Amino acid sequence: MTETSKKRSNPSYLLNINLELDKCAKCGACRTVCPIYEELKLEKISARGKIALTQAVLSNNLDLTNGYQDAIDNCLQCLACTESCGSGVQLNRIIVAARAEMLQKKGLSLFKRLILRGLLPSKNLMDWFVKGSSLGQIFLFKKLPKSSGLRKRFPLPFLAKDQYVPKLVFTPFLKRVKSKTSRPSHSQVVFFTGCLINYVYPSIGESVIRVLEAIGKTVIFPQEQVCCGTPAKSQGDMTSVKRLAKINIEQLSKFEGMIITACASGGLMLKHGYSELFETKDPYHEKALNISSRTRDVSEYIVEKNGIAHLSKLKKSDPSQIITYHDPCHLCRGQQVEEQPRQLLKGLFGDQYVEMEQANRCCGSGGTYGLTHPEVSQSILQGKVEEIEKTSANLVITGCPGCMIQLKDGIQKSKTSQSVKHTMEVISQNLKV
Amino acid sequence: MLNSELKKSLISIFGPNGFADSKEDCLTYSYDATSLNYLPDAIVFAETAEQVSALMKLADRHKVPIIPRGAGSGYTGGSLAVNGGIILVMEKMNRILQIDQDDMFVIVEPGVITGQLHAAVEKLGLFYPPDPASMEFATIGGNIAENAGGMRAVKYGVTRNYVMGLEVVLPNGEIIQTGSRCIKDVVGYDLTNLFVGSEGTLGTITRAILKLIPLPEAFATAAVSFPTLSSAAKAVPEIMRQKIIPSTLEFMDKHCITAVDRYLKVGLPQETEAFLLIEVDGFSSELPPVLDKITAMCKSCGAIDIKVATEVNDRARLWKIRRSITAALTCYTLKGDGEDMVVPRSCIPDIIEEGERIGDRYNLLMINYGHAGDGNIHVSLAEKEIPVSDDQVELAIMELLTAAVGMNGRIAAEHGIGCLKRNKVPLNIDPPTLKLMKQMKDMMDPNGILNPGKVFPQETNASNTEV
Repeated sequence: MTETSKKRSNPSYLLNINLELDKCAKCGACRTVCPIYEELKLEKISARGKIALTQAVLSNNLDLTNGYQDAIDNCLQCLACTESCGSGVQLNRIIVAARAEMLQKKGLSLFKRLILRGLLPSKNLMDWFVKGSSLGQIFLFKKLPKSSGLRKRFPLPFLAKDQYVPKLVFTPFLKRVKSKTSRPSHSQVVFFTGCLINYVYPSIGESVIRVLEAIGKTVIFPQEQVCCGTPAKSQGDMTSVKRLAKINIEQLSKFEGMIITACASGGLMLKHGYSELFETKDPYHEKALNISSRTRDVSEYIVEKNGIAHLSKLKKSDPSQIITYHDPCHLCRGQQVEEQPRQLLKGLFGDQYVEMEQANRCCGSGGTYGLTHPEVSQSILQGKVEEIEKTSANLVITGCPGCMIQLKDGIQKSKTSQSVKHTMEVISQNLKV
Repeated sequence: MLNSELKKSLISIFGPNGFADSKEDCLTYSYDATSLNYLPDAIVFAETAEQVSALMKLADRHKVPIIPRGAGSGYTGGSLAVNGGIILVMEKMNRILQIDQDDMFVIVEPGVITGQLHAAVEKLGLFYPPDPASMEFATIGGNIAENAGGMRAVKYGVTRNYVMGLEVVLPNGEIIQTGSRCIKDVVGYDLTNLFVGSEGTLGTITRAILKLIPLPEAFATAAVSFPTLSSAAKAVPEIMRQKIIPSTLEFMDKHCITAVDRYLKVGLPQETEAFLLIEVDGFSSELPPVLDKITAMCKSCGAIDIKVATEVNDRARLWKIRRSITAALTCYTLKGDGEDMVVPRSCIPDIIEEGERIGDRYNLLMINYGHAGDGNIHVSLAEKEIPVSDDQVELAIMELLTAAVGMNGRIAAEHGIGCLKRNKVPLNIDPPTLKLMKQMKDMMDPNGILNPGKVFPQETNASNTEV
């Protein structure tokens, strides 16, 4: 009796997804599509297994055990199972709810608390933290020739010998670009950068501006935008997600025009993540829906605006380049953006574009999954690198900075020599000056 | 719970990573695609036939049930530990060992996913026709053990027709080889066919030689809407009478159509009461005249809408109508686990009409879809407005199956018997025949350790209660 009343007094994340769990017919279609299942062949890792365990928790057949936590932590959130499910079960929602439930029970470690609740919501703190880390990297790592990555100077815990480490920038992207004053016009677009573009790959951001300006758009950047919340969501820290969402919703609502993302997870969050966070009567719900309806991935936006015609001014691509495209999970399955980047790239490269097998299979990045489950992540990555190799491409293009870090790591470790670029970097490089 | 000596022996056979008995693991090997749940005591993951052999010897000594399992996607509980025991997972034995293009066979381990086998041989212009709906995730070992069917059975037959030989581990641990890679082979009894469809009760398949045929050059698909059930029913034998055997001849009734149309918004004509999905294959030059004949025949039988597709993507769009049925039917309050009966294909209209009558009596909706070409109909029962008790549903199912048997039909076509339908087996099999089957089982598995509680009607209560 006390057990039940205790459950009722806390908002139970798992009870909220009971209907989602009930949809599962246990057919098993989710198993073969799961990149982790392919590696481990353990039912508890499959979506069906995670659902069965969650149902066992809800029916009091299983406690919130470490074994349960291990199972729900072992997910890339690649959405492959969700896509394959005939009954439309959204495992991604179940995973987030289960992680939130665990977090509610066990609390957040001090380290994660500092990052998720201290750093991420504060633009200034984040800027200074990255500045400091950027300096720190000079002492810990040496720069790699030919790439923007770093190599360890001496052994460091948690990092493999040949781990690719992206170089953090000293001056974030948003501090580099001159913020234009907002003059509402039909040509104005709002750029939501996301952390990785702001702090790791500012050249993606610069390329986005260049390409959008080339098709006649004025790009503005809300300076006070913060992390989209994906890292917090993947930890089940819904308090932080809501806090970050509210800041971004407020900041983005100040400006008119379409919202452009060049980061797959950021785009997914803005399109589908924010509105789910708030109950329909909450004013933020309405605002989140507005943000959602205005958000486009940059490749999606260019194709929608018939930007291909504008970009026909592109100079001819280097004929020695063979390119291939890797679909980021949160772009192809999360946002159904698959054809648009291909249209743009095929327009530019023609026959030099070679489709890889299983281009939409996860690269094994999954945010921090690579750090928490290095062996499985690396094994999945190796499969991806082998597919890239088979195309004989020397340039791998993708639409997500997170995937870029992972792919660079895989290419570095397999000692192949492809370069990895964002779709917008490649298009920008080929614009006539 | 296993005793510690047995557990130690299992770990020594399968290694620490090949054994699991945590609560989380047991819970996740307690189900399949039915709604049943039985907790096993442990799970082992086989990588060689020798491991399976050692396991069987050990289990026979300890009198512990062993339940072979592929993907756990079965519809009749065939891989469930109804008496407890050890789940023997075959999924890690998943290599395609040899594809022989000259003699046209493939040698596989049982854990190969059927869809991946298709892809591998089709790359070489070869064809393994059986295509159960679950082929993208079910294993070939499970398909062989259940003698899986599929959509192409009307033209190409079922799994049984493609199994040339097997390596099987018997309940006593002996490893035997049946059949061969020869098309003609009359040496000894045909043990291969004894194991195909034996549902893992006589032995564990550890290797299979499967027959391949040339991959048809082209496929064409037609989706045809009919205003009445009888007009669609008339079209099926008319097509066959033209000496055309389509590679697929799928059927959906009005309740199915309503659900799928709501789910997919395909926009089938409002007055559609029956729907046929027809596929033909062959040389590309042959197909247009064949398609013409089929569409003409459908029109003369009263078809109101015919969509034809020859390109891969267009065909996939038509196939989606068929493949969405299971998901679409969730809009109904389904009762029972779904039936899998089969009648001679000319009896399809009769059995559907009989089903309607039974449904009306029990206040249940009988939703029919399936393989019109081979007479196999999947019937889902759903409540109309008022709730119907499980007992009443069971009575309705018994009436329906009895009617099918009266038309020379069978109670199960391609999903197996498992534990779910075991008590209905006497509807089809007379006592002396069943007795012979039981004697064979007892001879091969005297201690009853291999997949107990399946296929044969229940004698006593299962010892492992459902969780």
